[in-house]
Amino acid sequence: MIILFKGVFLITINNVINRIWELSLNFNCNYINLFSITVIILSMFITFYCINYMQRDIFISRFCWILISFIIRIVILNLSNSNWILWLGWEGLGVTRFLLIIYYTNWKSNNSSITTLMVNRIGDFSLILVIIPFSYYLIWDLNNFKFSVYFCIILIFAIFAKSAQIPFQRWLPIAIAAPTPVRSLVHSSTLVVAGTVICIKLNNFFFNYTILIITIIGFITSLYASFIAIVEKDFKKILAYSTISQIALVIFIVSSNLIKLIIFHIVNHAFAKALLFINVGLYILYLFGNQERRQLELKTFNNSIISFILIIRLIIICGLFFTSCYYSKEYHLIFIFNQESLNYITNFIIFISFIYSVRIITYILININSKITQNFFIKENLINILLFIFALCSGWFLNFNFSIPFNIDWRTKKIIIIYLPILIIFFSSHTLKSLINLDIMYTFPIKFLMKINYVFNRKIKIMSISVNTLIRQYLFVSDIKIIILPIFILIIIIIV
Amino acid sequence: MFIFFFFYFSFFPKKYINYILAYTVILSIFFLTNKLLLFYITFEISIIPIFIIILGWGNQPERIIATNYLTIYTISFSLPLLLILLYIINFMYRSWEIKYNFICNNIFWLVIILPFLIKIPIYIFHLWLPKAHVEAPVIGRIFLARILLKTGRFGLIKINDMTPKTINNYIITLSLILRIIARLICMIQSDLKKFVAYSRVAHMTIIISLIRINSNYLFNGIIILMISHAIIRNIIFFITGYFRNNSKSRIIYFQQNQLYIIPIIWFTLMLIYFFNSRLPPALRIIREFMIFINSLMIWNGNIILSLILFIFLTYYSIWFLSIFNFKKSLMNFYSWTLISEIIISIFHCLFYIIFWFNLNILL
Repeated sequence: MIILFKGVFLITINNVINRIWELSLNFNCNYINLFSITVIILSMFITFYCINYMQRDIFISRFCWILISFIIRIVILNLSNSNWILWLGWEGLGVTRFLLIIYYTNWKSNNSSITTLMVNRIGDFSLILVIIPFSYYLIWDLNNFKFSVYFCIILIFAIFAKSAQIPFQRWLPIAIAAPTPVRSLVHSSTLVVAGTVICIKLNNFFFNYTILIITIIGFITSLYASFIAIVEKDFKKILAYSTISQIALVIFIVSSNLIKLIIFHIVNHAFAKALLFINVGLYILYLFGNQERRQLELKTFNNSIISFILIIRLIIICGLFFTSCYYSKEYHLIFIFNQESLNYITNFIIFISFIYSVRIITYILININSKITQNFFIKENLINILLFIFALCSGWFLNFNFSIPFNIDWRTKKIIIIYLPILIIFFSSHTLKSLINLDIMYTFPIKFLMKINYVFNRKIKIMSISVNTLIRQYLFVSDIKIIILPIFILIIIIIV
Repeated sequence: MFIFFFFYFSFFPKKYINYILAYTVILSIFFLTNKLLLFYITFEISIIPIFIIILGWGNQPERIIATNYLTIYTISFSLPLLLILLYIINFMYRSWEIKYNFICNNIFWLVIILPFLIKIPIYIFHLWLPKAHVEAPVIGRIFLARILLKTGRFGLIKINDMTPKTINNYIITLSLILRIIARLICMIQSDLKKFVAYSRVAHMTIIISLIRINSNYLFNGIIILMISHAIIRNIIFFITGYFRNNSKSRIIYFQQNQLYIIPIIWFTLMLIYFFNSRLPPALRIIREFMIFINSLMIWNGNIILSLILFIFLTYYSIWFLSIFNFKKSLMNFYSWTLISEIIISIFHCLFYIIFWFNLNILL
């Protein structure tokens, strides 16, 4: 093994100079190009948002330049055909991310940027180790499979460092110190996926012992992240942890060799998360920079669009029927159940993702007597709505060859699956009325218990100061009944 | 290299320009000679103008010590070189030409190598460099020092073929370790110029390992890398001098408002530091690859060393940059900047980036 190492290195040295430096990009119609298209679309939206968000800053030009360079690099990474170009993209991602995070001049952003870059460096190092013998052929072809196991293990470190898995996951919750467009573009959808892109490209080489490591660590990180998200106080960090868990899910899916499904999930998740981050950023604007969840609740909520989009976005990530993430998640489950392997553990992951998203929803729906009101209109709502449409519809358009594994005919009972989301959205609109002036609860130490109580039993224990509580309370409860009814009906129908 | 000379000098009309001009002559002879003794003479004479410049136009009273260090280090270690060169000429070949068939013992090899090792500051013999750079009068002088240090490298290359290759393997690991140590010391610095000087040291210590490479193909690449290194260093020094002039202090922690005054310069500095540490459109990456490959060929344990190196290399540059990112109260701050300075910095940057496109031609 060691001798083989040395032999390859000698060959590479002899070829450093006598080679043709292939620096080309790959524009064939692979499925990876789809991801690049999503990146471009997302980046367009987010640059618009960014210009509105930061138009009063002095250094917006620098910020935009760095953003553009970042976007270019990730596109390069996707389309890369040879290692040198990939290295260019990979390295540049780390650097541009550092520059973006360091945009704000405070101690926290400095620290977070440095930690991100250092963790990234370890990944880069391992990537160098791996690239060198590959670079003899300039493409990712490996003829000699004796190397493969050790190299893949080293490569895995690179992937984990980039995609924030367990040994290297520290940087992502810290990197929220960046401005909101950076967060939505970089840390939610595109950058953390760079590792998985390499996973996809080298998919054929991972089917040995390395797959074990990948799946185990993916599972562990998703659990870890979702458990933390259940308890976290800072709702930006909740989103960061949710991204970790979703990406871990993607890495978990690598074990099933469903490349298209992976890309599908990445795309869906990208759109969804970007929008989430933007909306949460708007919330923070309204709260004048306050990030704690206990003050998330707003008294007079005129911009109900944001909450609406947020709630539905979260539900999409959980996997509502026929919205985008449903396809990627449920199909994965279906394909796994066919195979009779241990991978039905994904069920657990998906369920837990539901939990923390519901947590955020409850914080939005429930209000306390807060002193903050917002009455101003923001242009970002346009972008919100557009992205919302994208996120909803991406599942429908990008459905490659997957089909629902049972027949849907309008005569069967199962047709309810198709018109159920529309029902839910229709009924949820009724709740928007109740989002205005909801002050039900006063104490939040017992909030958690209260939630369980009113979801399952519709009983609430109240200690409140304001006078209007009882009336509003009953309104709220009555509205929730309307949502829960069709869900119950659906469950009953499916079981029967 | 001489082209760079003339570009820089056009922007700095200073009093000691005569001495700078003297350098052009001396160094041109040095780089183009084939004759041993001329080689040595110019090597020694090149110290004199720097000596005079530091003594005459330096700022601190420590410059006396600095010049002392400089002279003693270089001259004391180069005298044996003279002896050996004379020995070669008289008893071996009876000619003034450099021949590459010389087989020597280990002692001879050491003696020949030492003066060059001092000129490129290897970590063990580097003490003169921080002192000399700190007491530098102005930026123009720093440029010269950079080019002087190249004499060391050049000499090493010329003499490399005369030397035995049995100790190659050990030297490479040694150089890695030394580089790490140098880098660590660099990170602790609070003085701007010393920081830069130590970083220079840390970079140069790796040169020995490059020269001991077993294959012939990579050798051509080293020269290119040296050129790239030169340009980088020039920019860095320029900008540090600029910062110093603006904030009237040499301490790193006081340089805090620079970003807000002229962000362009900060941006170029940052770019360059990143180019230092393996950003792709830069030749550093090839150098790092070569070092890496070389060290791995010799001993597999070098992976750990190179890992440590890798991480520290990034950290020192980032630390340096992040300090500029802070904000202090803008009350007591004023700056004088010339447009020419800005143009120089940007020009340097672009010049360096252009090398990437010429990569195929150069290789």
